[in-house]
Amino acid sequence: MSALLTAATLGLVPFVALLACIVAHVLVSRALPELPRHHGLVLGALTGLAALAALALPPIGLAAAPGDRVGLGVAWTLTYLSLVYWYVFGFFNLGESSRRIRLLVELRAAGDRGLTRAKILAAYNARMIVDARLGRLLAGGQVVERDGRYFTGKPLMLWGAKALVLLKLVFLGAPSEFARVRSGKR
Amino acid sequence: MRFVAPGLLAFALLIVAHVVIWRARRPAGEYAALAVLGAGVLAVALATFRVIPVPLGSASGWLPQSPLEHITAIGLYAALFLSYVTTYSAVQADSPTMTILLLIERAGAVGCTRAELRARLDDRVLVLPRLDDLVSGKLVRLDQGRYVVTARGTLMIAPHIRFRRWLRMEKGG
Repeated sequence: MSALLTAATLGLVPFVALLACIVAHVLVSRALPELPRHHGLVLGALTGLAALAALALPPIGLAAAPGDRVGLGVAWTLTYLSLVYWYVFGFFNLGESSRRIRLLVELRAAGDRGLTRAKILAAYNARMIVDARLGRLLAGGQVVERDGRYFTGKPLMLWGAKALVLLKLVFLGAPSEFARVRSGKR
Repeated sequence: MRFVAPGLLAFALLIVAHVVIWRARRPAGEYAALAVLGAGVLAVALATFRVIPVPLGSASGWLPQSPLEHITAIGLYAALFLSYVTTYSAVQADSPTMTILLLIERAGAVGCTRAELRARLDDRVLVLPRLDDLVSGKLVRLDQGRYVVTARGTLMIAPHIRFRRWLRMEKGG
């Protein structure tokens, strides 16, 4: 029972490191509101990594045989990095750029009466979405503007977009959700 | 090896099962189905890890044995599962940012204007499908032409609203 309890406690190490990352991110965002958002996230992730090292180094020698210590360290680091990925893209970024979350925010603010489709589209519409995203892409250098026309800039995000198209083909059998709808599948 | 391999192996099994099942028949409640699949694959993997050391003999050195090895494998698998679901959500629904980038790239050397992007990405493409998702996911109900958040929708949105307040950030989207 004691070995199980010790193992369960040690298993929490990457999760506690994630908590440190989130707390650091919140504190940095509140203290430095002008800081670019991705810088705040990087600071949070680095704080969590430092917390992981501080929490893992003392018990790792006792918990694992010398030959296994690297393996345990790698497992905890991989677990922490996966949790940070989830936090950034699966939680923080939902509030930042998810259309479903934004629609829910607008509808919740309307209370029990709700909103008609026209009222929803007055508060949040495709024009606003395109303008906001284009603004972020321009600020990040992924898109550049010349004489009122837009061209691709830094390629990293474009590669990500192409990788997503590949994954759509693997999972959905179509390069976009609308291609599926057009072909009559769902 | 015993700390990393079991979690990675179970995760690889999850990806294969996900692709095979989804290509055969995509379930209606995708995320609930994915959660069930994730738990099922973990249960099968843990049961297999208990059974296969006997036939494998000395080649079973990479399998988890102690409680810490099991818990580390489960923690790694759970974290990889969360990041996988996050990535899959970007696969399931088209991201406006990614679509804009692909449209601009497709325009090539002539580039494209803001008006051209707005014409391609209108409310029928960017907003209404997501509104339909909310209704089909029972997060919003349609009541005499008005969209109203359900209790489930309120439960889902509350942590995001509170967290944005903690961060002192404005509405996203």
